[in-house]
Amino acid sequence: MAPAEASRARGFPLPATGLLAFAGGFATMVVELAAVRVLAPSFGDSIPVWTNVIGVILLSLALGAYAGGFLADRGLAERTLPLLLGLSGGLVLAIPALAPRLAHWVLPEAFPLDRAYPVLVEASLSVTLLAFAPPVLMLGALSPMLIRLGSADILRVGRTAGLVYATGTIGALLGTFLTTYWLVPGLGLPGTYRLAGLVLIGSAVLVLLIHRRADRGPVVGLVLVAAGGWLFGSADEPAPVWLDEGAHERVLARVDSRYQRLWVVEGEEVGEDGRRRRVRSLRINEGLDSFHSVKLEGTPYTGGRYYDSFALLPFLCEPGDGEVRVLSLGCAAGSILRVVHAGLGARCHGVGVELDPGVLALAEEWFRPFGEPPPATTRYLGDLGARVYVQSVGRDEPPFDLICLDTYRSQFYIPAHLATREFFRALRGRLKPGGVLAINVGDFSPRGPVLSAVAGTMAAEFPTVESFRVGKQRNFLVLGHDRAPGEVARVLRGRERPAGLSRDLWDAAQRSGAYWTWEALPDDRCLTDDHNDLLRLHEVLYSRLGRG
Amino acid sequence: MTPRQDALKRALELDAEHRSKEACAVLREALEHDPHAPDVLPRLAYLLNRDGREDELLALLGEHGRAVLEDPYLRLQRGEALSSLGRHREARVDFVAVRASGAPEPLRDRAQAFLDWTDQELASIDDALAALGRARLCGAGGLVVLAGMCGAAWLLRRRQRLLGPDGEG
Repeated sequence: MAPAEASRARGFPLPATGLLAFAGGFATMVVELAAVRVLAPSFGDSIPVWTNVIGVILLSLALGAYAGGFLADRGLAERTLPLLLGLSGGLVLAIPALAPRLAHWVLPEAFPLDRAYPVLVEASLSVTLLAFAPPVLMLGALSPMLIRLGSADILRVGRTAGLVYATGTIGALLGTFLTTYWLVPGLGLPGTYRLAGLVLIGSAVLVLLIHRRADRGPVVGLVLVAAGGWLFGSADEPAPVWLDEGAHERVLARVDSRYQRLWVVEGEEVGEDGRRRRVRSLRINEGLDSFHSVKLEGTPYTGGRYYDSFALLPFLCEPGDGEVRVLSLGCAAGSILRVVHAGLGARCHGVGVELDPGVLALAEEWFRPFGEPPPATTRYLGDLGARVYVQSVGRDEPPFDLICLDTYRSQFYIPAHLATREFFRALRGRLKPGGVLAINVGDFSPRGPVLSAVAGTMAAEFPTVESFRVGKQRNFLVLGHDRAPGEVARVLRGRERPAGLSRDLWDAAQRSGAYWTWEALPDDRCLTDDHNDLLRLHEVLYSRLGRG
Repeated sequence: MTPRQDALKRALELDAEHRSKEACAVLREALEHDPHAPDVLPRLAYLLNRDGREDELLALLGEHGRAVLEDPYLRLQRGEALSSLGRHREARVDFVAVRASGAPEPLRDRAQAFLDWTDQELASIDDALAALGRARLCGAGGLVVLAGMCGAAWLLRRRQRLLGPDGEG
């Protein structure tokens, strides 16, 4: 009796059927969840990128299931199953090297944000189609094949289908949790894909054993596929395209945290005073021309970058020796707290809240030793979302004099839940009377769509909202408080510029014309928890500007 | 002192006190009284541009279209504002016009510097469009691979149907 005929007569053992479905589900979710992590250093992990990945994976699974049904019904399942498992395993092993190389080919240089956005969205879709869809399509074919193979007769179809779906889903569940919480942080991305690839190749071997195939051909084929995928997948990742050789930039550290790819980069720059300084920056994912923390050697200020605009805030605090409580939401490696502390000195009692504990670990290792010691009165809290802290964890803390919000995600946008009327109301509730909320908002014009939406929504909760453009950059400092409009510029006039703070920024900050006052948007146009089109506004902004 | 001179002097004083918003208001008022007052429009344009009020500047220059065409300084201000808003192709037209005008040398040099920078920006935009083209090519490749895989499954099934369920004919 031919092996295929024998196995059909016996039926595929149910435990093995369940095990193979489990392996397929596990590998599928590892590939899907880690896909965004593989793409993130090139294209970011914005909501459009996630959408592209999930969409392509679902398309591939659907096509695979349909094609698998074709093969299952014509008695091809026995022969093609190990082939599909082995090939998909080999392709999965190759992904950590294949996807970055494709990304590098599509996007060989770093563009400014306004040019990059449309490319990032389309390129993430394309690379997902070419690098991730083929193995997932093969995995999608598993279920109909396993149901066919596991059903010795028509009476077992229901039970087998239930088993395949149940074990496949449990495998997917395990793949989901393990990828996020253990595999990527523990094994890194190549290690994660190696594990998934080996699980699939091991499954192919299991199928061969069940079929008792004695011929060497399939085994040799599997070994070759595994070795090829392993070798290709072990190649080094290309250097990030945004690394500026002109500024002698080099990567000091590269970490895949639970949330994102983190880079610590060191370069050199010449300051306003003509001195050449080393500068360290924290970059996240695709990086581009953005940074999430900056530390210059020998000064708490950041060479005129937008963090320096937060140096204006200490001038709004009551003079004297009293404690000034400062909350920095999205503190990253502490640039804003350093700048504010420079103005307040020992009076500053800071709390830094950061979602990604990996960022705080890098800050401890690379940013704090690089200059003055951190103030003893500053606490950093990791693994904590800004809104969770404000509305829950830190609710019983004494109110703050200053709250600084700088929570950009994937360079492009403020997460929707951190720019709503409800959140601004909660933030106002955490301020002392006379306290100030300061937000970093990116836009390209003083009346741009994103700035208008955020500032107009803030104005629905704060008596006075003013914005200040930081140089000719795309950053605006938006201030919400209960003082008279124009007071910020008035308070700064006649004061001495803090040593080391950018002269251009200081001069601009004293001019009344550099501030815009905002009226509250009508209720139906405010950003709220229920209706928030901030992401669309960002897309409109960046897509329009890319055309020049 | 004429009202125009008075307005200019007052605006300068206010600006020296960092009250640029009030300075602009004084100049706007002077411009309303005499739309052709020399020096007032360029001064106002300078203040608006310096304070990053590009939208207001472009609206103002739109109201004085003829003056802008005749005055290289205003044209340069408009080019700079357009550039700040990412409207490089429109800005380029102004920079080229200023450079080719009979404006004083420093003004033409400034226009040249902006023109060089704008050309770099436009080249970067072209590079981004090329990247977009590569992305689409890559996506098309992905779709072809997926279609090929589905086609292979269909061919296998067709071959099997011809050979019989066990593939033995």
